[in-house]
Amino acid sequence: MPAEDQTAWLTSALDQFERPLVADATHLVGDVHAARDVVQDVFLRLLRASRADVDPILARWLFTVTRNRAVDHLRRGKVTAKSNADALDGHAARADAPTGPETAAMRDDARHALEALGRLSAGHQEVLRLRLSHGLSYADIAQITGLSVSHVGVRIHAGMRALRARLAEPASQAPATLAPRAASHGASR
Amino acid sequence: MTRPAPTGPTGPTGPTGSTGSTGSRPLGPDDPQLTAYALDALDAPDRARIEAALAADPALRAIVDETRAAAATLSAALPRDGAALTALQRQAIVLRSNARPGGLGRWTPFGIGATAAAVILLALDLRAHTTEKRALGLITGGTRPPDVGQFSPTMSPLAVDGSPVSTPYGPTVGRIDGAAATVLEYRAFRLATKDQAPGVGSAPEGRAVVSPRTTPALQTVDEALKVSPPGAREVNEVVERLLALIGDRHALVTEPNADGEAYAVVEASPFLRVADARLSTFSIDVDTASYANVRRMLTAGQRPPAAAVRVEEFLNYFPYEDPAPTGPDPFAVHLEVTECPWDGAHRLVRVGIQGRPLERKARPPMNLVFLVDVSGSMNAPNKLPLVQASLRMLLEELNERDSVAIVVYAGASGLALAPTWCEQKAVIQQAIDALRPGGSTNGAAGIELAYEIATQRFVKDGVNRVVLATDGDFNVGVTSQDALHALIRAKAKSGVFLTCLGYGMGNLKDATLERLADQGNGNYGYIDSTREARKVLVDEASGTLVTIAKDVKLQVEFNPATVASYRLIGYDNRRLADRDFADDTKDAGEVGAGHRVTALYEVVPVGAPEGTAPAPTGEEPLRYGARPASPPVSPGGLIAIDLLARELLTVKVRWKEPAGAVSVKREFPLVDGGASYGKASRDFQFAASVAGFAMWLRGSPSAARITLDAVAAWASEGLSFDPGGYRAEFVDLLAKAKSLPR
Repeated sequence: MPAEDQTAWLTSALDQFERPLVADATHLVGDVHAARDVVQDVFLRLLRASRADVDPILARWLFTVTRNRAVDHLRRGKVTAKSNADALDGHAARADAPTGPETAAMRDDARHALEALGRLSAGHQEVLRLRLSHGLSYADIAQITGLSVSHVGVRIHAGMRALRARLAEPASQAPATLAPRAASHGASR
Repeated sequence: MTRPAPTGPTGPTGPTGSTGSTGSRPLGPDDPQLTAYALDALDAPDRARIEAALAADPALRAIVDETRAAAATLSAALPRDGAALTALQRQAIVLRSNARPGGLGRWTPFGIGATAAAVILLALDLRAHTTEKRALGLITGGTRPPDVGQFSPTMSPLAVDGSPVSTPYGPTVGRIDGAAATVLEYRAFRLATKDQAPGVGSAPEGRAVVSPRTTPALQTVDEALKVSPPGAREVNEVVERLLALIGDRHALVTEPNADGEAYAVVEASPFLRVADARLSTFSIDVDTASYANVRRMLTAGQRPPAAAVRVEEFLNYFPYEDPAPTGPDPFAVHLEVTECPWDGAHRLVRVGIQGRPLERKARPPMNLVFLVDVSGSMNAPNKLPLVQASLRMLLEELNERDSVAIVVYAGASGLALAPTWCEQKAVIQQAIDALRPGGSTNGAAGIELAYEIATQRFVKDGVNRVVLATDGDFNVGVTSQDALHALIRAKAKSGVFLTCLGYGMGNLKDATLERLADQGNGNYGYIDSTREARKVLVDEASGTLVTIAKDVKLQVEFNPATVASYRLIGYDNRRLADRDFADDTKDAGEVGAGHRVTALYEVVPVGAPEGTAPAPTGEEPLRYGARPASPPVSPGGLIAIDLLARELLTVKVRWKEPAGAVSVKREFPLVDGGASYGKASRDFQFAASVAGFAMWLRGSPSAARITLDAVAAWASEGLSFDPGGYRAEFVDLLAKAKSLPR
């Protein structure tokens, strides 16, 4: 394959997926710098992959490799971070997951939605993000997370149920305990 | 838009859907299909079924609406995009796609397929989320999962049925094939049956694992085992000997010590009878890292593991007085023979090679790409800061004709300094100062990027080199060791060579670095202090960086009329097959400007007690007749024949010019004048002392009679020549070794 062609393909993939992947990786590893390293590695791997094999499933491939690299990163990292990898991998609950940006001006609904998301296990958060933030199909999400398609359905459903319940609550009932955590948000901006 | 929602199942209100196919069951409010419908994730038949249910049940309709609203809210709150990559990161990626269309080509994981899979499977050190079954599927030819890179190259041998072979040392083995695989298979068998008497076992007993031609001393494993009865340790050692004889340097087995440092275990060679092996062939080696590394351990009060002691690297550490060449050849060869200090009946031969020094002004322009490991493990005073100090020192030696780039590698790789001419020293200085440790090691990706950059700024007739500075911890990597070696070999052919600098203590992967440098036509130094940095990078910068001869091979032909048996001291992992000497396609070591190479042979003259040499076996005819006492009469004249008969040996050297493809050969005969040790030159005496120390540290059988006091006495004469004070330091080191607890 000609070099220009390869570069054009790569550049287009970078333009389309660079930021979504960094967003995804940031959620997974909790640190934008590490997330960038993960994503750079993903694209370097893309260079080695067979384009014919990867192109039809590019999004799935990129998110899958990003997730794997992120899990590797967490496993290699400190003990505290390692529990995140276990949570992602072992489908265990994670109470203190980063949930995304939060600003003072954010509408209540959005804040409540993120709060509700933050209270879900890491595994539930992940499938919701892949679906709602990146628009991936259930089949793609299943491939990325290593779950069955129906398991993905169950998780998304449970997540949405919790979300609906939270959004149905009056704003005044927002648990005060969530407030301190706001300081740790915002890593993915 | 947010109305009170159903509070979830208060009982079995419906299937919570462990499968997606709800069939014709009635749709409940807690059916995952309902959510999937709301999120537009269903295909047409399912959608129609749900829509029918919704039309009949307004409550379900409400749930769908709520779900959609909640999804929209969350979707809006969740940013799709994160941060962009940094400009450097993006640049590194695009640069790679420019330079290598299609990447490394068809990804062949670990070079499997050709030979290895049939005999031995390699277990991969898997990331925890990958099942072993998947990995084995990969090896045996299954389709490649998208993320093959998640497998680390660290491999352990597997028996044919796929179960791991357990060995007492937990060896790490690279690609194995052919005879080496059989050897490992044999080891597995031996270790499994080690409690039985030899001969009890069944399968591989007596199998010839290598041809007699390549292993004159050990023709079958069992013959080897007669020499050393098969305890676990002994089996392991025999295997190392066989592997060394087979010459499969990829299959070195490493033995980690308590600190996790890994050293290739290569057993020293035994005495060989001239009748069996007239020729001794090896690749020269100018590395010196072993000495610096051992010095570090001894200074810290530790006994170095035997495998960390490489005699040739001890010998080559020190400056000698050998005169530089005066003719056109890139190096001069000096031979000397005297009494062997540790066995008066034996003779010791020193082969000294002195490379042509290069005037600093005369050196060619340099295109250097520093590849600096900035992973978390480099965060120690004797690692990254020392790397920075080394680079600053080297920078002082460079001028406007030279170019420097810096690539860092950690969790990901990046260009820390684009190629910069050395007239802009402040810019380079800044980039050096800005290096910070953090992340984990991904050495392979960094090496690839560094080579890309070096190739882009290739200086014809100049020095084009990637200088890798690391603690050698390549455990967390992208590629297999084989793919990495293949890349480095390919790049070396293009003229970009590799220098490896090992830093720090604790997890220095000595064997990895030496092999990397070896693949890249390069050299390897261990840097433990600013002093050592100055020696390697400044005092010897011209030598470390400017190659004056490549693929330098030595072959010694012994005269059966005067020599009964011999052994080469050191160079245990540098042995070549005799036929490779004249084969210009076979790679060998490089000599840099001003480098010196010293090799020692311990020779048992005809008529001397055999010592530890093997007893004669069989009645094989010698090529020049079994009676050297009656030389054939020839018209050429008796005097010439007499001289020939008195020759001890002939050293033949082959090398190529740095850019050449065809080798040049020179021959240097040596006649033994019968000198005693006291008559030997200062260099000879000092080299003998260094070799004696190394053998003592290795605990080799030949060293049984060597004491440290004797070693110190042998060195005394040589101390009068000591530029740089390295020989005096050696004597200090002897004292430190002596104070070690036995």
